[in-house]
Amino acid sequence: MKTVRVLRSSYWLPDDHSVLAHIVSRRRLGDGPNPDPRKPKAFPGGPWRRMSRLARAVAWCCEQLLDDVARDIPVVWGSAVGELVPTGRFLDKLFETGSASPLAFQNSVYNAPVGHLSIALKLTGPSETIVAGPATATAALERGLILARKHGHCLVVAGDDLSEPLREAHRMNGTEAFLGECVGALLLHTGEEGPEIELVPGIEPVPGRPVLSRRVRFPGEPEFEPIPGTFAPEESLGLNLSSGLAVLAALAKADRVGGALIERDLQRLQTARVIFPRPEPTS
Amino acid sequence: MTVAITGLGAVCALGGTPQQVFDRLCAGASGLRPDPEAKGPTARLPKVYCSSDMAVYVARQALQGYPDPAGLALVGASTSGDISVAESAWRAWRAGEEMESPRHFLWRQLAHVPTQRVAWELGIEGSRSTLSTACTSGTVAIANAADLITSGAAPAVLAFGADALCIMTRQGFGSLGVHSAERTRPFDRDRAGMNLGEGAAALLLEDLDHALARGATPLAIVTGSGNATDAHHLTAPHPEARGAKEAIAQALQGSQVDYVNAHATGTLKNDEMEAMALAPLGAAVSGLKGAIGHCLGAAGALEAVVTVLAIQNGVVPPNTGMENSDFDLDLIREARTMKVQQALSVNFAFGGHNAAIALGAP
Repeated sequence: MKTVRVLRSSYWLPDDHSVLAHIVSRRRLGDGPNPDPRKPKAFPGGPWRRMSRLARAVAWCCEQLLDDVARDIPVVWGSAVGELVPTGRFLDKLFETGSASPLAFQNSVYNAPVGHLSIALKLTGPSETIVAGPATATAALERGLILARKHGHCLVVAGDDLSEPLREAHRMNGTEAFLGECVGALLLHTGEEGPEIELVPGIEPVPGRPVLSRRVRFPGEPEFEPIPGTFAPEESLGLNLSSGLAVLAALAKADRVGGALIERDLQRLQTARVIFPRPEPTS
Repeated sequence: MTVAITGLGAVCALGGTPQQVFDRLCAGASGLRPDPEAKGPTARLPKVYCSSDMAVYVARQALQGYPDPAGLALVGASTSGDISVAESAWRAWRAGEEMESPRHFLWRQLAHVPTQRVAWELGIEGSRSTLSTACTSGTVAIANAADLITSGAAPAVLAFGADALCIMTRQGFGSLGVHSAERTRPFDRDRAGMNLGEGAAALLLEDLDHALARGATPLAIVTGSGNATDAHHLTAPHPEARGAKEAIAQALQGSQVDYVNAHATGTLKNDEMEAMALAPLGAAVSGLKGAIGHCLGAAGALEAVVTVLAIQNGVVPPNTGMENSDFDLDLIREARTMKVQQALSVNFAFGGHNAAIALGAP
């Protein structure tokens, strides 16, 4: 089986801080009002105006990775909650006024962020939108690894934003947690550059490197035992169903750290491993 | 490695089993009925079911006799999960009313809910994910299931698509002005738009050797798949059918095709674009949406099930609703008896997504 590596990675957090600073130094992200993503300079203004906040975060992450990349690259987009803000906007307007908004409707579909992205950046390759609850990041990565092996490269991006209805849904369900929002993106390839990335069943940390796994249960999930010796990403990034990809993007990006992310879907556990090559011996 | 289809399940306005749906389609029946909640007819089930209910129902059909559901992987498809249930809870929340079940409020609108429900109820313990690429979801789910098998990740995968009618889609497509006030007439020169439907379909895919070793009968073979993006407009198709042509070329890899199960929504732009993409193939063409409506995330799975039965039965269903057509296509007006060695099923979606799956005789 071909080895897949991370050629580049990026992530978006609402306060522009380094994900690595949060997950490695365990600094907690602020939970004040969150600003919108900034428009990348090269990104066309027309599509940007029509995009949701989540779609803009996706664009912000992806645009910086694709400079010299062939436009037929496959794109995998993972989101657990999808475009809840446009969905809510559509329903609110409909229930309040009896009329429906076509813009909110077309932005309400899960795949809208990658649809906008493809139009703005002229991406013509395969495009897939994956939803997998609390295993969304690893499910998107699993698909991205298959496509990278098939096509030689693949862009995997995953994330979810925060909104009033989501906060309310967590409150109603008694998820007493600090909630977060983030998007992460990995440019995968089968070349020689960058750390290796793989997905393996069970619990398989990278020795001596950070290992992260969630501790807080999402609504409806069965009880589970936290995995000893792991750091919970929600302690710094806030609880977010698809934050795993931002974690992997950070592990792949910064100073040859590497590490592992363990995700669970019901009782099934998988480990995504980012492994930097060992340095050559000096003598 | 060869990927075989060994199990089918289907439910929609025309019936509750794959063969029932197929027979009624071939008889020229239509499930489209007037719908006071939409701007035109819709094809509804006789009772109200959510997407998850339908998904479990068709999954059980497709897995009938399969000995090891726990070892399966699962790839579902849905545009909006059980939003038909969540919408009323949303309205209650916004109006400050007490909700019957706060759990319905948001979580059931997630697209992954039908997949989780199928996994729980059928005891499927392998990997599971949901495709939500709007109207191509069902087709992409089948292609991904085949990829899981050829990549060695799983010997058998259940793929399904499920979408129930809801306020969101009824009113949303209405706001785009693409509803036909009368029964839709795909590929007709006087076509006036689409009608919505609801339903679900499931296909059991297996490595052929795995299927034969357990004594299963292959119904069809997955011979290829394609996926390409228009990069043109969020809701309108590419005027030269660029993405559609590319997805079809990827799926067929230059091979001949006898029958195409078309997307055929009955909208002005889709049918024009699709005819442009299909004309060079010289194949017999029909679509199902004039009979079962546009079932969104379930459409690709339902159409693939019918295509498998066309291969099996040597009969292809008609393009229901069409009376007169100017398109340069071999459009099927009445069910046609013909040998189908290779068939293609195509779907196109919001976001400029195009998907195709090629199916061959076993």
